[in-house]
Amino acid sequence: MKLLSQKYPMSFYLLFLWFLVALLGPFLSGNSPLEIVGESRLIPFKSLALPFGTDELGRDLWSRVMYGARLSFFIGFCCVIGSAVIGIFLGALSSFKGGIFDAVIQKITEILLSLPSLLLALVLVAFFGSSLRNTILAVGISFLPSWLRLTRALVLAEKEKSYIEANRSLGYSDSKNLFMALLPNISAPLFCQGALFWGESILASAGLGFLGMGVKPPTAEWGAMIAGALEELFIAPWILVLPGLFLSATVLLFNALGDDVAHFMDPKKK
Amino acid sequence: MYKNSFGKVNSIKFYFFGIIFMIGLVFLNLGCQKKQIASDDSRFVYCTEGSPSIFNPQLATDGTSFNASSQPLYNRLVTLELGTFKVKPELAESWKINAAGTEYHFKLRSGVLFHTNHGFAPQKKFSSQDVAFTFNRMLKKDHSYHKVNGGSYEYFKAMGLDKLISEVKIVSETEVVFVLKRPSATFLKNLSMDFASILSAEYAQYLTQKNSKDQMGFKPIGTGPFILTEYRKDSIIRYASFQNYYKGPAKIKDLIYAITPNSLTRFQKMQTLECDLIAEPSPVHWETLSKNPKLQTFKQDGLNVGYIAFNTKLEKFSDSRVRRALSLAMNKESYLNPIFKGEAHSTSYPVPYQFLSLEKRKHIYNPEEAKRLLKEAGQEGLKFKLWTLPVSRPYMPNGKKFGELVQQDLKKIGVEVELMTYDWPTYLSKSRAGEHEAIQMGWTSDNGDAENFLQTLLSCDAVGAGSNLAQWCNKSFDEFLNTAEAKVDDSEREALYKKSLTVFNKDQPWVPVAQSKVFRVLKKGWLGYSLNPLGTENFYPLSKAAL
Amino acid sequence: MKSWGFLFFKRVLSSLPSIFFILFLVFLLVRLLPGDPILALYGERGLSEDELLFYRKQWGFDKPLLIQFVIFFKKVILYFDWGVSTVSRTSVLVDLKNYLSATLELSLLALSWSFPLGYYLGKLSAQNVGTKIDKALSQITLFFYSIPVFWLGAVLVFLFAYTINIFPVSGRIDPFLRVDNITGFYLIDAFFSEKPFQSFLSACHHIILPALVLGTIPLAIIQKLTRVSTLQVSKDLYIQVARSKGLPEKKINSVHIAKNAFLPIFTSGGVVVASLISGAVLTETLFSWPGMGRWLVTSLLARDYFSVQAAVFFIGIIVVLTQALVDSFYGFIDPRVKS
Repeated sequence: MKLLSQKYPMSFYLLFLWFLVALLGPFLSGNSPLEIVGESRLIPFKSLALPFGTDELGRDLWSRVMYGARLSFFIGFCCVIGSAVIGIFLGALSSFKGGIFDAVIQKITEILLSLPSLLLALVLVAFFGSSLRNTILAVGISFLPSWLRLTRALVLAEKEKSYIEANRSLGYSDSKNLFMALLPNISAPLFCQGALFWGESILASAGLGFLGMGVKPPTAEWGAMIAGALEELFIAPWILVLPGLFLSATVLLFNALGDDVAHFMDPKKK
Repeated sequence: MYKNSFGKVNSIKFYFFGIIFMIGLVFLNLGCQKKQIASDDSRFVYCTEGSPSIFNPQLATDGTSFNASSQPLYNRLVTLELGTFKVKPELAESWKINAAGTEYHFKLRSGVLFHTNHGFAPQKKFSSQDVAFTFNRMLKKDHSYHKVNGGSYEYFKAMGLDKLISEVKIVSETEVVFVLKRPSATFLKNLSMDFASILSAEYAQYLTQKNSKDQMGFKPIGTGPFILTEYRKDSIIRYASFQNYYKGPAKIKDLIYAITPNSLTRFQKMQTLECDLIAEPSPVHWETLSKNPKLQTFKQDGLNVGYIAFNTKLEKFSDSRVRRALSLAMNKESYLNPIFKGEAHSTSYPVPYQFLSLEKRKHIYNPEEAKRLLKEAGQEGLKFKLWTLPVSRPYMPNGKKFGELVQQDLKKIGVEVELMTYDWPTYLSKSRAGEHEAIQMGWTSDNGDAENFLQTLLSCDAVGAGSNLAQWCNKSFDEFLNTAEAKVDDSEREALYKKSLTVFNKDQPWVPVAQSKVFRVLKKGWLGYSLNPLGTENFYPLSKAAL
Repeated sequence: MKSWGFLFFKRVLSSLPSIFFILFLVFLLVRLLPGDPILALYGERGLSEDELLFYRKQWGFDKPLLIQFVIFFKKVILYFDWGVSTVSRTSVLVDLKNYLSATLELSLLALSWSFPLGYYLGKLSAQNVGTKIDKALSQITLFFYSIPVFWLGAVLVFLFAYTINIFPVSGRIDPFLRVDNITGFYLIDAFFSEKPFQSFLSACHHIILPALVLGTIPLAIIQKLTRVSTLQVSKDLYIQVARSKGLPEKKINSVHIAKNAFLPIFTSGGVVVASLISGAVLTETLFSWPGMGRWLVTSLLARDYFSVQAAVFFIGIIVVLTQALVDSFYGFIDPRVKS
């Protein structure tokens, strides 16, 4: 099968590995990320039962980090899918059709882009309450304008190509032309963007968690864990360092993935 | 390949020098700092955690504001002796109480001067006029200064003085009489509290003439050992020694409050000796600070109680079996290490054990019994919201984390707890309005008396005032309190309060959690400092040791 | 003859819809809060019924939404009355001035090291495209882009403020060095204070770590942009022509490529500013740096909605105006752009 025989970039394998780890990781120590299992602030790497030691309340840090991985995957996934579906749909439709609809969408995009995304997400969460659902909504919404802009630019460039015109003369309806013929041809940069956004949304939700506006305690969310560990920084630094390390590694992975996906799907690109 | 070696070298040199410059800057700064630290015998830096809300202690309620205003800038009629809580004279030299206990005749100290500051130079000395002004302002709603700076004299009201004082009579320049509506065992003690600080009537007149009455709260004039010279919000408060202080000028000439809200910063600054004093470091840092040979540490059992109050007006909490169950389900002993690093003991009393000579006892943790009680009360599967304390206090250094521990324990008996919080002023005002289900709170003694806890926090009157967070009104409990208040003999009062505690224990409107130690860290070389468990900081007695 | 001022003015005009939208968003958010908006704006500090009624009338909360917006617009744009912060009890605009200069100082310092370094590294990458140097540099910038700014800051604090105690944990300057607020930039105001040298050093001391941490974001962005832009330009036809003419490589690089590559980087100013602000929110919170970012967060947490309105609005304005500035500058410099 072509799928199996192809040579995939490193980051694909790492992603798969990471996914496995996030899924199965918690079972290594068998503890819940919320249960207090032992004395607080136990040093990591001393026992196999508590590979990362305990946090300031005595919870298994390994378990919390692993659950945090799961959570960030989930958040990233929801944010990207949600904003991509809406963003790509709207962006493609508006730029393909043109006219007033397009002009309005373009203006809206431009206006929305004038606010830094974290700011928008922050304000949304602060006003509507901090919870997992609101975090996903807020971060997703804050990325929407970027999807709109990207899709518009891609579709605008692509729609002038001759095959689109050819399809039209063949009797393709606009939407069929757009979604069946055009979109697949611009899918490479879109996937690349998707990977990048996955990483960025993980970072954004961790930022919100750090500020105390994201997912609520005692859920193990990396950003919130880092904020909670600040007080202990000087006497139990691992409580801060370890979640942050995993957070950075995850975002790094997705950023690298973004570049690799682009190369992978479109070998002409440098 | 288009290499450009020239450009590369130039840029590298630029960065190289830039980095060297920065590093040099850093070391220079360090050097300068070290020099400064070694100097100043008459300068004292207190690294405090927040900005005062106002400089008039009548209107403030928090320790931060009191330590910035009433302690350095003002005096009160009487003061409490450290450790014994006996009432001692301050601005009042002596006093006589009539047989009925309703008239307090004070003889005031003469020759006491007010500050000369903020463009004001007093012509008169301290007299009964100032006492009358101070209290009438709070008492009389039609007083010309009553509404100035907001008009909410919370402590005055909370201690019941607005209902207690009938009038303040000026007898002579140095004599003033407080007429009370009924006798009160704690009236004198309450006069030692921060809110009863004595203001200058002459200054009030001066401000009225200048049409800037609100400066009363921001450009303070008092009789205290220090005068306010500078205030930069969120940054620094500077005081200078008042040369004409009636007890003699302070040895500290330059008193500085460095406002450092970040507790990690305070810890670091104490270690680098940039601060002379910090109060209540996070329990997490306590050990490291104790080991530092350049610092002296003070530790004492605090006069505080941290608790969780249940809003008994809600149906889910109206049955005392539910409340008792929740108490049994909390493994309080297990909280002591993560939250307090062991520097606290669990308590089931709503009063510090020292007040009524109570025994320290370990908490009974019995989740099985808890489950049984819940079932009996028909509240299995109970869900409620717990508000967590948003600020750090000795009785609750980390409300959020504590909440998580409670969450875990209660989950084991099938109770679901949701944690939430607000910023401190909102937390306070909402709690007073009774908007909570269960709430974390605490109290540090104001005057060394048990009444301060039981009356203010658990009486029926307190429900109306908003300070009874359990919204709990129990007639027999109140009866004990009322009887005790009319008594003057302390041992009789103690017995009555102890009886009231049995009512409390049966009904459990709260789960008292812990009574913690209080900490101070002071740079070595300073003499004369004493830890006041009431939480107030008085820097007047401090001096540097002779080298 | 285009004057830059004219271009800027035109560009600002075209960004008015954005500014208007931000204003409307800010207005809407407070009114969309669950519960009574008046209570939210004022009530939690315990106002009497009369006062609440007064404010209700003032803001027009008894009138339809559109009229409310008109009242709001008048108050805020015409009279410049943004209200009083319920936390600090001072005018919101006064707070704004103080916090704005703090953030500006930090951001400028962060940019001062990250922009030239990013530009240099980007150029280096582009010039050695495809080699190990290029790959290595790309990895490094990827690294900086991925690390959460608040974690990096915390780790640096642990290393350089605790393990090796050479930097302070937070703040702008030693509190007992009196520095008056003249420009709001402590690095400059230090020289007007009692102890200029010491104050300047202390201000430096406090700003180094936050500026280092904050700068990692624009560093990555600018490096990537420079690389891409330089590569694109060097493929352009006129460069090939210059090369074939026999012009020395150095001249081509510095004159032709650099000038043309620089402009697209420059115009990404809006993006850089936006990311700086996001980074500033996190960095300032971590270092307790009293800037706009931290002001926004603490105002949100304290429900000080007057401050929130102003913070959100002015942050948005800054981004929009920066982009306008940068675009107009581009239009001014680049002779190819027609007005």
